[in-house]
Amino acid sequence: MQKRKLGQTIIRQRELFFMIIPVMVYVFIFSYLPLKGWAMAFQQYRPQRDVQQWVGFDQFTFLFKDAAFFRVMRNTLGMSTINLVLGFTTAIFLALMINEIRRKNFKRIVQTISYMPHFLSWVIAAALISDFLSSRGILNTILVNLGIVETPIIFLADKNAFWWIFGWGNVWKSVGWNTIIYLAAITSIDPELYESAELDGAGRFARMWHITLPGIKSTILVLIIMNMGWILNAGFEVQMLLGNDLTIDTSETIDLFVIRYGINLRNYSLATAMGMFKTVTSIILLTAANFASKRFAKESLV
Amino acid sequence: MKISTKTSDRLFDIFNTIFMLFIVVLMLYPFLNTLAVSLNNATDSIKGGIYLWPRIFTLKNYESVFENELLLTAFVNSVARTVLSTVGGLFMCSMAGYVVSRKEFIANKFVTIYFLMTMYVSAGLIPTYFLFRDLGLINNWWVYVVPGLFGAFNVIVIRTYMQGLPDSLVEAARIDGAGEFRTYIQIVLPICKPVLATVGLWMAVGNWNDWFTSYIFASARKELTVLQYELMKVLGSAMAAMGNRQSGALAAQGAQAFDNISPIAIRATITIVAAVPILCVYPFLQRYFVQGVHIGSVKG
Amino acid sequence: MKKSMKKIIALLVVSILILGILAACGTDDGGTPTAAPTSNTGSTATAAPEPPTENQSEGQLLAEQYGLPYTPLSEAAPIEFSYFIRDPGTPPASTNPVIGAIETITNTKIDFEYLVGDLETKISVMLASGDWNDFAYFGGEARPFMDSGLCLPLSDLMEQHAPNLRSHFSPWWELMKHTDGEIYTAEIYSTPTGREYINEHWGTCFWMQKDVLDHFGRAPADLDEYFDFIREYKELNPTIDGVPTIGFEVLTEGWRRFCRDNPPMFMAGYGNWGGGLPDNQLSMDKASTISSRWTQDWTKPYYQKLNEEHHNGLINAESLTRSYDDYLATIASGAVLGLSDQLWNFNNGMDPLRAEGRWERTMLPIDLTYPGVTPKYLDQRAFTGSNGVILNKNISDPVRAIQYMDYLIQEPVNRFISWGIEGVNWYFNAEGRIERPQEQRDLQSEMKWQDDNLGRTLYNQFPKMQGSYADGNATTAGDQPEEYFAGLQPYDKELFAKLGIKNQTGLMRSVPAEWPVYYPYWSMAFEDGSPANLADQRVTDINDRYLTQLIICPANQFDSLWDEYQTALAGTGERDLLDAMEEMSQARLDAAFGN
Repeated sequence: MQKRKLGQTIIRQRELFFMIIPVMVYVFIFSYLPLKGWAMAFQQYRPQRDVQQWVGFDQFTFLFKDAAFFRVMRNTLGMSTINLVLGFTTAIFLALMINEIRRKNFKRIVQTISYMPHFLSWVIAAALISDFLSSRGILNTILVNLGIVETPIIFLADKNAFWWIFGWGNVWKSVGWNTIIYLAAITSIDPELYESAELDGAGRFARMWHITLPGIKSTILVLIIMNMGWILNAGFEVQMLLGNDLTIDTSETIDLFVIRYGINLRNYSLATAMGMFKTVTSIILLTAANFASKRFAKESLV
Repeated sequence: MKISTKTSDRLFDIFNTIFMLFIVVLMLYPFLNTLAVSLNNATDSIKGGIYLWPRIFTLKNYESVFENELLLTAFVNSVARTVLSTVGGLFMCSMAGYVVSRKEFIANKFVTIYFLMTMYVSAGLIPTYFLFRDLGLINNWWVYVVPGLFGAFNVIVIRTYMQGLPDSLVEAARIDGAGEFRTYIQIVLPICKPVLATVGLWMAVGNWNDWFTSYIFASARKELTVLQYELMKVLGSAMAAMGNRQSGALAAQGAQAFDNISPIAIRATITIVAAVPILCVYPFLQRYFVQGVHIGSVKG
Repeated sequence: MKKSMKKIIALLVVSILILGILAACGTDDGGTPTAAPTSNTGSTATAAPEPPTENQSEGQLLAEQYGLPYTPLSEAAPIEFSYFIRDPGTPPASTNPVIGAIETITNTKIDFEYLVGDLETKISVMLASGDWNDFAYFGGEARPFMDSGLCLPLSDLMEQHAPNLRSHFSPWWELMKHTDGEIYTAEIYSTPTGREYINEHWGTCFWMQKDVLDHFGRAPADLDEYFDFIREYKELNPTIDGVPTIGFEVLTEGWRRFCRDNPPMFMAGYGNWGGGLPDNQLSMDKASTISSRWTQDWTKPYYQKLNEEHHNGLINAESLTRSYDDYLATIASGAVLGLSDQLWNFNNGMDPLRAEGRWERTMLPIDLTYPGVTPKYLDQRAFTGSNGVILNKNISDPVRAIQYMDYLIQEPVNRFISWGIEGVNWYFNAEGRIERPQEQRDLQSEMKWQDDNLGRTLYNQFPKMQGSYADGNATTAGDQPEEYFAGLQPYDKELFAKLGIKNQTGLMRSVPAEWPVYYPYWSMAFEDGSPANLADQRVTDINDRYLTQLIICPANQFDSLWDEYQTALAGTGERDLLDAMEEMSQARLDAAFGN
C-alpha cells in the first residue's frame, strides 16, 4: 500500500525527476567523485607512488597537538564571527537605505558605485587600508588634529585591533556587493503592502521595519545559515596582506597554518585532513543553525 | 499627525542623501585612486602619495598592457566563457532551484541536502586535477565552462526567491494544463528576473575574474588564455623587471633611461582594464531590481 | 513573456557565434610538440661534426654569418620544447634577432612559461600528476621532482651527446649527483669560469645614504658609529625635501625576512650560510659541526642595539608593519639614511631618486662587523647545486634537448646570447676588449628592450659561462669593468674621489671569500616530510613571532622577551635541521673528494 503510493507519487512527479536527475548526476561527478581523494588524509601521501603509506589518524593528531592549533582556531572563529555580524548588519542596513532613495537615477548611481570596491584585488585594497591607517594617514591626521591622541597610533602594529581592521576592511570592500541580493529580494515584496501601510499612516521607519525587513527575512536567514557553515573559512589573503609579525598572534588563521605546514612543506595529506576537519565542523554548525532557525524563526534551509 | 510624518519623512530623506553621499565618496575613492595610479608615471608611482590625480601623466602603463599579442584572443575567450557559463549556469541552477522549491516534490529534502553538502566538502586541487584529466578537460577550452555550471549557493538563493512567490501563480498554470517544465520556463522564470539577474551577475563576475583555471588546467596551450590570466602575466613581467636588474652600468644610467614599469602601476592598470568591461554589464541588469514590477504585472 | 524568450534565444545565438569564432581561431592545436621526433641526428655526436659543404641549410648559413660554430642540428627537423620558470617574467619577443637566430640554427624553439600565481600550488599539481613542461627551472624546489622519479637522467646523455656541457661541468660533476648517484640537474648559475669581476656589491650589507657619507667624509667603523652618524645627520637634517628623516629601516615582510635575520651572522664574520652556523675553523676538506645561529653570544647584541636605537627614535617602527611596496616607497622618498638588505631587493626603491637626479640620496654598502672580526660579505661565486634546469623524463627527444644545451654552452654561442651580435651590440676594441657603443650602453637598463633584442632569456635559463672568457673579457656587459666605469655619474665620481674609493664596493673591507663545497647551507634541500623541513618551518615561525617584537618592545622587557624567545626556539626541534645539514655536508665532501 505504502509502496504503491510512493510509486504513484514518483510517477506523478516524473517530470520533476527528469529535471533534477541530470543535475544530480552532474553534481555527483564534479563534487562527490573527487572526494575519493580524502583517502590522502589517512596516508603520508607522496606524489608518483603507486602504493601509499597508510598512517591512520596521524595527520589529525599532528594538527590538534600543534601548539599553534588553538590559537589559529580562536583567530579564525573570532574573525569569522566579526565578519558575519558586521557583514550581515551593514549589508542589510545599506540595502534598506538604498531602497528608500526616492530619485531613481541617484539610486542607480549609488548602487553601482557602492559595489565598485568589489572589483579591486585585495592587494590594492590592503594598500589603501594601510595608507588610511598609517601614521601619516587620514585617520591619524584627524585624531591628532582633534586632540584625541597626541602622537599618531600605529594601528597595524596593534594586535588587539587586527580583527576589527579585518572586519571593517571587509565591510568596506564588499558591503555594496552584498546588498545586491537583498535589493533583489525586496523586489518580491508586494507594493500593495506599502500602499496600505502608507494609508494607515506608517512612517518610513515603520515601513522598513514592518514590511521590508519581514519581506526579506527568509533570504536573510537562509544566507546566515549557509554562512554559518563557512565559519572556519576566514581566508588567508587579507591576513597575509594586512597582518605582520607584530600582529601574528591574532592574525594567523587555519588557512595560513595549512599553507605553511601543508602546502609549503608539500604535506598534502595534512591539507586534506584539515579540509575534512573543516567539513565536519561545517556540517555540525549548519545543522545547529538550521535547527535554531526552525525553532525560533519558523524558517529553515532544509 | 500627518504633517509630522511628512516632516520626519523629509528629515529622513535629507539624512539618507547625506549618508549616501558619504558612501559614494568612500566607495568611489579607491577606484579613482587606482585610475590615477594607472595614469601616472610608473617609476614615480613607487614613491606613493598619489590620490585622485596623476602626478606625472602618462599612457605608457596602458601601452605596455595592450602591446600583449595574446590580448585579443584572451578577451574573446573571456567573453565567450563568461556568456556560456552564465547562461548555462543560470539554466542549471534555476531548474534545480525550481524543482526543490516545489513543496510537494517527494525527494525535496534529500535533494536539497545533497546539493547543500557540496558547499562544504572540498576534495582539494589534486583530486580535482585527476578528475579533469580523466574527463579530458586538461588543456581543453571546455574546462572553462563544463565544471563550473552548478553552484549550490545559487540554487538555494533562487529557490528561496521562488518560494516567496505567491502559490497562486503555479496553481494557475497547473489549471491551464501546463506541465512542470513548461511552468518553469514560461511562468516562473520570467518573474524571477531579479534573482536571476543577481545570480547571473555573480556567475559572470566569477567567471570573468577567474585566472586560476587557466593557470592550473590550461596553461600548456597559449591560445586558451583568458583576459585575467594575461593580465596576471603582465603583472608578473613587471615584478620580474624589478627583481632581475643586473649589475653594472645600471646604477649609473641617466635619468631618461628608466624602464618605467613598476608592479604598483601595472597592478592599477590591469585592475582598470579588467573591471571596466564587467562594470558596463551592471546597468543593463539594474532595471530588474526595480521594485514590484513583476508581481504587479502577474496579478494584473 | 514572448519578449523574454526572444532575448534568451538572442543570447544563445550570440554565444554560439562567439564559439564559432573561437573554434576558427583555435583549430591549430599548439599543445602537442610540432614535429615527430627524429633523434638519430645525435647518435654520432661525440666526434666534432663536419659541416656539409654543399646544400647548406639556412641554419648553417646563419651560423657562419654570425661567426658561430657549426651544429648538425641545423639539418635536423624543427622541434619545440616548453620551459617552465618558477618566477614571474616576460617571454622574449618573437622578433628577437638573437633568439631567432639560435632558433634557426638549431631548429629548436623554446616556449617559455613563467610563473603567474602561487608556485607551491603549481608544483603540487605537477608533482601529483606528472604533467609538466619539457624543461623546468625550480631553483631550490627541484628536489621533489627528482625524488618522485619525474626527471630525465642526464649523466649518460651528457657523456654521449654533449661534450662541451660535459667539460663545462667537469669540476663539479660528482657534486651534481643526486642521492641516488644520477645527475638530474644542469646547474645554470653557480658554475664560474675564468676570473670574476666585482664592480658592484649586490648582496647583503649595511647601506648608508651617500649624503651622510659625504657629510662625514668617511665610512663608520662599527655599528655604534654607524648609528652615531645617522643620529648626528638626522639632528642636522630633521627633514629631507619635506619628508621627516628616517634613520634606519627594517623590512620583515614574508620571505624577505632575511633583512631582519641575517645581519648578526655577517657582523660576526660569517658568510651568507643560511639556516646554520659552521665551526669557527673552517676546513675545506672536513665537514663542520653545525650549531644554531640564533643562540650565539653575538645574536642578542644586534637586536638589543636595534631596540635601543628604536627607543632613540632612529628606527621607524612603522616599517615593521607595512608591505614591501611601502618599504620601497619610503626609500624612494630619499629620506632613509640606512638599512640592511641585499641590493637587488631594494634597488627599485632608488629608481625614482635616480630618475630625479637625486644621486646623493642613493646608497653605498658598508660591511660592518663586531670589533676585531674580519668581514666576509663578498663571495667568490661558488657551486651551490641548487639552481639547475631539470628535464622531464617524458620529453619527446632527450638527445635533441641535450644537444641544444650543448650548443649554447660553447663560448662563441654563449657570448652571442649574452652580449649580442658582434658589430651591432658590441665590438672588439684595439686591446681586444669587448666594448659597447654608447647608444647600446644607454639601453642597458631598458629591460623591455633587452628582452626584445638580446639573448638574455636563453643566457639566464640554460647552463652558461659566468665570470670571464678565455680572452679575459667578462661574460656579461654588467661585469665588464670598462663598461661600469664608462657609465659612472659625475656625482658618484666626485664622491668616490672624496672618499678615496674607486667603485661602489670601495668602502667595504671584505675580500671575496673562498668556501668549502658544502657552502651555503641555504642551498640544501631536504626530502619532503623530513624532520628537517618541519624544524625549518618551526624556526621561521618562532623568529617571526619574536625577533620583530624584540626590536620594539620596551627596553626593560627586552631581556625577559629574549629568554622567552630562546625557550620557544628550544622547542622547535632545530637540531633535526642542523643534523640534516651536517649529514649533507659530509655527502658533498664525499662526492667532491671521491670517498
